[in-house]
Amino acid sequence: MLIDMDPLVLGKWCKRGIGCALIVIISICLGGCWDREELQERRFVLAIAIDKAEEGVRPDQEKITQVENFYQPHGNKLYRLSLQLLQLAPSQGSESGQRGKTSTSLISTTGQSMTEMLQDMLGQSDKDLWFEHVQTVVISEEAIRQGGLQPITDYLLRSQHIRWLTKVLITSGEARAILEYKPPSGEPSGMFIADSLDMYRKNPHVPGWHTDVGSIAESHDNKQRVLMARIELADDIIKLGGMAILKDGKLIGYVDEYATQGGKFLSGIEKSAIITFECPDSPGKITAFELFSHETSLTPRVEGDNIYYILDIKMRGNIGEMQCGIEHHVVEDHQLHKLEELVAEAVKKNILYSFHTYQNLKVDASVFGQKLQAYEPLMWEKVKDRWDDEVFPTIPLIVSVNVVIENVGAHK
Amino acid sequence: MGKVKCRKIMKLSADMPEASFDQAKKKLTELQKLTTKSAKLGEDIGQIIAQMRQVAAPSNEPFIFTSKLAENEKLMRVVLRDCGDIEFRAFDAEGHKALLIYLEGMADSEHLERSVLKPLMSQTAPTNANTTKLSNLFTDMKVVAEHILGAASVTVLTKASAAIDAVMTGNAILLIDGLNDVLSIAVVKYTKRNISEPNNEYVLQGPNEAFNETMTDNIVLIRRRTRDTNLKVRILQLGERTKTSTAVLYIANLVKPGLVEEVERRLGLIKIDKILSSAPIEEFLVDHPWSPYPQTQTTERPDKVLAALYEGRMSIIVDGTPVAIIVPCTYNVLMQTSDDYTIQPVVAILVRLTRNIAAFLAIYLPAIYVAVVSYHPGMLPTTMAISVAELRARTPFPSFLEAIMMEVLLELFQEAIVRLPQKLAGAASMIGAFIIGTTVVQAGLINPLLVVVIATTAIASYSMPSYTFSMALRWTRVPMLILASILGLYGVILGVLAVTIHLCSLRSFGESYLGGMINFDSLADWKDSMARLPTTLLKTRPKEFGAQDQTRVGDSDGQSGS
Repeated sequence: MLIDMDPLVLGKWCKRGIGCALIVIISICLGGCWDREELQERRFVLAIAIDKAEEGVRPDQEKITQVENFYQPHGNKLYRLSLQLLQLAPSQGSESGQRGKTSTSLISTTGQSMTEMLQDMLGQSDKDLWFEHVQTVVISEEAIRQGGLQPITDYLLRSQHIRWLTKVLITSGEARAILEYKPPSGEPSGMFIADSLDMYRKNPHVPGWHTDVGSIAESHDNKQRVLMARIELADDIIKLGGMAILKDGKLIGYVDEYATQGGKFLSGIEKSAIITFECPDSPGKITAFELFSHETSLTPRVEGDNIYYILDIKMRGNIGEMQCGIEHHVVEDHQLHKLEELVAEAVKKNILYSFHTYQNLKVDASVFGQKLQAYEPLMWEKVKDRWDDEVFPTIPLIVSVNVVIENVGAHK
Repeated sequence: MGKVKCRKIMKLSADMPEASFDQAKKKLTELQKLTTKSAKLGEDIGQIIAQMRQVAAPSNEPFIFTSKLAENEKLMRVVLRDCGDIEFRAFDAEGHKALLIYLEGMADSEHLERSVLKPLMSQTAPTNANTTKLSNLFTDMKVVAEHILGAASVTVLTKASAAIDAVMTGNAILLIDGLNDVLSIAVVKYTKRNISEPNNEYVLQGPNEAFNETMTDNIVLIRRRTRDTNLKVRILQLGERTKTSTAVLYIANLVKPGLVEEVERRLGLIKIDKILSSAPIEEFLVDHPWSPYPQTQTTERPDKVLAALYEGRMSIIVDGTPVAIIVPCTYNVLMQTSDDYTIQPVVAILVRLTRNIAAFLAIYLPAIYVAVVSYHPGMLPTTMAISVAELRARTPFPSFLEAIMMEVLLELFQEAIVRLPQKLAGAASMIGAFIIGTTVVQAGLINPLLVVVIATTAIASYSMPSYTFSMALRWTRVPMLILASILGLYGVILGVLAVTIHLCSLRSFGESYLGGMINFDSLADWKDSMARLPTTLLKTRPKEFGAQDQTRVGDSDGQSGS
């Protein structure tokens, strides 16, 4: 057959065949198979907790701490690193159709270097630890106070596996205990916390917009403040709310839910919020305004050496709740305007509350500095070195809020 | 002593050399040689006689006809010796001896009786008034044909080869003593299949006539659908021994200039003894016989052929095959079905989109699965990664092996169902469904997700309008799988590049296989390739086939409505 073929055709074919074979062989040699690892051969790490070495250890647990340990040529036993691992239960055939229940386990060790601790932890695992699906990182306040944030997060920023969108949270208690928490749905607590924090657009009490690994890396590189969502555990109740502000690796302070909500109004990133105020006619009773959408603009103004900011907010929403008594039908124009003014007042109060909180903490936790840099670069150059400590705590903020109440009329 | 005795008993040939096995074998072969030699000699003698008979015959003719019937008959008998189905019917026509030669079963004997034998033999009857006058007609074959015979199609032949061809195609030839011409009478009639519904290209709403094995019938099916005189039919004979009739169809004032010549040139280059179906012709026609992708479109629907002809393409119909070949062929035309034009355009657009996605899935889905599961599980959403890992926790094999096993099962399964008689195919598919669907998964050999992936792939490839194209997709799947298992997504992307480059560089009579779709010059062709606009908007022919007249209404030469 081959003899019958035109020698030219054969030559062309040979060349092409050799070419294709070379491409395949070279690419195999260059890149083939090196990171092939079947999904079931990987041990999913779902959450990481970092504590101070002996945090929360009861005297009867001495033996355990001896095992969760290793000999370390350099450094001290500063941190305790805990990993939440996913234990796969094989699904029982196809007939039943039910998935095996996922369970998790927790392993810990103590040391100073995160990578060294991870290496030691392989002694507690049957499969290679795999970090691409890490959902949350919980850091205890004590661990940060001990040596700052940098030694803790450096590994998170360098690791090729941990994603930028991994959530980082802070707790005032023991971080490992939070990973031990069992959500009622049966899902791993790492995923529970991440999902809960993901609702930040609906829940103005959690920050969520600047609290992932990527933002920490960014803030770190720009020498700016770092925000972390706060999580607290008491018995078997877990709650997200408020946030912590860090600067230069040091914890500056916690900020409560009200200030967190105000901070979100400042940067205009919330999707919905409840704004409450007292009923105009019956004091002690509450009316709640439900926010639908808003437009927010924050602009810096410079007059001579004076810097001030103008915050202009337009909000649309409806009355979500009105405990004032008989008058629950709001249809009259003057009534509406009165309510709108009250809402605006409440929003203004909220914003100024968080603004003053930031000023008292001497940290620009919002975007004031960035706005100044963008709109008035010359002024920024002058003040940037003493911005947080001297300039920011003194600048005034003029807030104007315009509220429109929609969907008026009878309730259903 | 005992040994010697033993030897004597065992070997008879020791005493009688002529009884040995070797000797007998030798004798037998000698005898065989002798018989073959004598058979050859007989044949040679026959040939020598034929050669002696032929008086200055040209080199490509077996002999030339003489005016003596007896001699002509002998010559014909030599050529047609040992063909038991040839009928030699000698009769007397007005004192002239005549001979009718035809192939029994292929020629209509009733028709011969009625239109040849009767008129000729009745010339001898004394009741006929013009007897003497008519007897003078036997001086020229043409006159005989014009005045006596009642057959519709009659040709005068002078060459012996043409006469033999005529007999072999089923015509009857008439020889009359005293004339050195012969008359070929078209009386071909043999049993053939009726026009039936298409087996593979059934259409829900639309014409459902399909080609049969007879070329003339197939041409009629096309002719009947148009009254256009520009529809030209050229008939060629291919296959040096079988001399299979092959028709080349095109619309004279539409077809791309040069295409007809190129097709005929390529057909002319075919040097092969037999053409039993259209498939070998396709392989001679294409530029890249090693590509798995079909480079000619085949159809069993006459309306599809006509639609293609009016796009400026050409069709080849081979006698004996119920399928017409259409060239040039591109990815676009393989993705179209007749049903697209019977359903609502908006629906058709969605259907075509689905079909294109299906083509992609049929090649790449298992590869993407293997790449993601073995190399990049980080790409999956966490909940999905966990559930996939759960499903795979029980399976002992790497995903590549698993996928290959499943592919093998699927291929076995498809092949078995195609080969089995229809009654058994149902049983086979039941077994297959049980094995693949449940048992393999229960046994823990293959995880259910992979079954979903492979089944999706199989269904996607079944949804291709062209069977040959879906076979090509099946073929491409395996190298993609191997690439994915070696290099992960990087390999899949390499594969995508390789397939795309191959398809773009593949040419079918000058038209790029895939290139037309991504060529900005012919972006207007999307109206009937990626999308399917309402017929009111399909006013121009596809640019990629280079029809001479681009507008679909009227014609450049003034003939309207063609």
